[in-house]
Amino acid sequence: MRIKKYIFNKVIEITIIFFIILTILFFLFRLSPGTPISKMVDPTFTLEDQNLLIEQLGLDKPALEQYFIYLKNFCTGNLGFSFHYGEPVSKIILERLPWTILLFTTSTILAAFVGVMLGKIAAWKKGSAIDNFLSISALISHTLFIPWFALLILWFLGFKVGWFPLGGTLSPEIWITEPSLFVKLLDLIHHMFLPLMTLFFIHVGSYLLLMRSSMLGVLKEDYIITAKAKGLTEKSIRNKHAAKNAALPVITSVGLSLAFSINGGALTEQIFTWPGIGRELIFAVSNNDYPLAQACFLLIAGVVLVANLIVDLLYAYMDPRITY
Amino acid sequence: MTLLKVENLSVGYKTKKGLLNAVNNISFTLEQGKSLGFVGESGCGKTTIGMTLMGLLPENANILQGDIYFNGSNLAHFNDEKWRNFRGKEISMIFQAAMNAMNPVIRVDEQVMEAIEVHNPDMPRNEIHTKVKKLFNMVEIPENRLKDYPHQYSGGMKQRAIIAMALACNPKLIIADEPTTALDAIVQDQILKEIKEIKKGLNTSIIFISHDIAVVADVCEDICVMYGGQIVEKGKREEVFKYPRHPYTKTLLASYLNLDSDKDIKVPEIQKPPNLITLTGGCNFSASCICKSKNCINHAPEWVNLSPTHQAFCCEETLGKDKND
Repeated sequence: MRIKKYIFNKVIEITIIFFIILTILFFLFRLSPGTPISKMVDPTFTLEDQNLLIEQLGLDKPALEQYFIYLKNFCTGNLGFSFHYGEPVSKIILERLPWTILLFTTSTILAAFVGVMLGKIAAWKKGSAIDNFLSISALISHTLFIPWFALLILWFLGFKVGWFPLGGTLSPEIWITEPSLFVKLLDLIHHMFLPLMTLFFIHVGSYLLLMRSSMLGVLKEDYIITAKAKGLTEKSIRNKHAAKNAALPVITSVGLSLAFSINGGALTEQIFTWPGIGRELIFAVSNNDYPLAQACFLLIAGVVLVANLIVDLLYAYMDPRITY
Repeated sequence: MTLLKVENLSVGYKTKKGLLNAVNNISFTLEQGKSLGFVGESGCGKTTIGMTLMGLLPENANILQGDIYFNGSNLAHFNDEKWRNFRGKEISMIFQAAMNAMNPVIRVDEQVMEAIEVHNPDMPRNEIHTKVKKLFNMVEIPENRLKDYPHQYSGGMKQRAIIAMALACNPKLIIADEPTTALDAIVQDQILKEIKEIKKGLNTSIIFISHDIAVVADVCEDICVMYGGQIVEKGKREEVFKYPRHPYTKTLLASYLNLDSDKDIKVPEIQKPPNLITLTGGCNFSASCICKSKNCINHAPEWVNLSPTHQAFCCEETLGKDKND
């Protein structure tokens, strides 16, 4: 079972990298300007009170000692308490994470799916009007500046036309009446629509372009001529012989962007007041909330590392030439 | 019975520098159950002929003139749909296995199966399976290798699988484009035997395209020697190889070393092949020809009958002069 050995080795590798990242993160935050208490203290606080606060947070100890305490706690599953919220970091993360996963997994998968479909068509009809239209649209979508586009879509569809709510995830006035699951779901989709559309449009272009260029490469391969020589239908050549090979690089891209979507959507989450990890991350960093910020970054690191492994395994599944 | 009759076929590629006449006014016929070989150097138009007969010319290529009669229908006037139903069923192609001729992510048996499926949509699944097994039996691939992926095959096995693929719908004509190039001598010999057996057993006609004279001489009864997009000499295998008459055929044969040939035999130097975009109208081979006269540069050569089955595209003067030396 070479695959098991491969996974085992990979997991060890990932663990080592993870702890290196953890170490770097820990000291990076200690080196960053400002102190965590600056956002908590009142100008009326005496120096003694301030020192007491620092002591309570454990920040008076030498950095190395702090590091080992953190390491020990981390290994026992304790991520510490948020300086700002005063709540366990794990609790905050678990609260925010589902929202981020919901929004970004949906948008990434949707964008990848549509991008692959359209990229396939664009490559197949290379040089036609459809191809030109799709490629140019994809380029525009790919180069859009996220906050600008998000604000524009929010202003127009949320404010000017008023079809969609300006932010949040749910309407309390609907949920308080304890409606059916369907109504709840509808309300969620209603709230999710604008951020989802924003993320979809930003990402669909890059998947389309990636698929298109990959597909154009595959269409030059000899086995496409073989498939034609067999008299196969265009659809069969396009979908079975070309697209399956062409989609391989897209998988890598999807896997990695799923990982990065945890934080990559910080701006989108901020604009649509979506209570996810990205927003928390910005908040934690700007408030020097060390435990929370570290945990957010570690989460990203962990997801990226694991996603990489999954992409590797998925590749082996999709491409029989790859074995581990 | 004449299976294939090509008349005055010209194929051109549109390039940035102008129209490239890859195949220029060629004619040949092929009988049912016979084999015809095309030999010539790279770029002489061999593969373009094969691709034209399969309707697989690239987008920038066009049939400029001529007719291709196959079993009564003119392929030169086929539309896409007609080609699709025709390819693989009436004419199929054996590609070079060294190229990526098989899809790397689809199982080998599936790739043969779909060729049968597309032309026999009503055939039940288990019948297709049986047929695939029979085909693999014929090309001597063990049954337990059917479900493998192409990369798990050796070069020879890949070539066999490609032959099985070409035979899937019992085509009347098989075009083999350099099927043994890049295979070692033993495997090459096995593959050639296989092709000959298929030809005999199924009464299939074969067009064999290769730069390797030995291979063509082994498989084909009739030979066309090509140079610069034209057939320069055609005839029975014995006639062309034993009594070559066209200066290019002679050069080609002379450059083919063999153990007991005189070491000091002088191979005439061949200039670079003619520019097929700016053809002069004269003989394409005139630049390299050892016996050219002034006339050859400006005057088109003509077909000279050397025997009822043997012709050379040259001029009486050269052929006559040549006879004497």
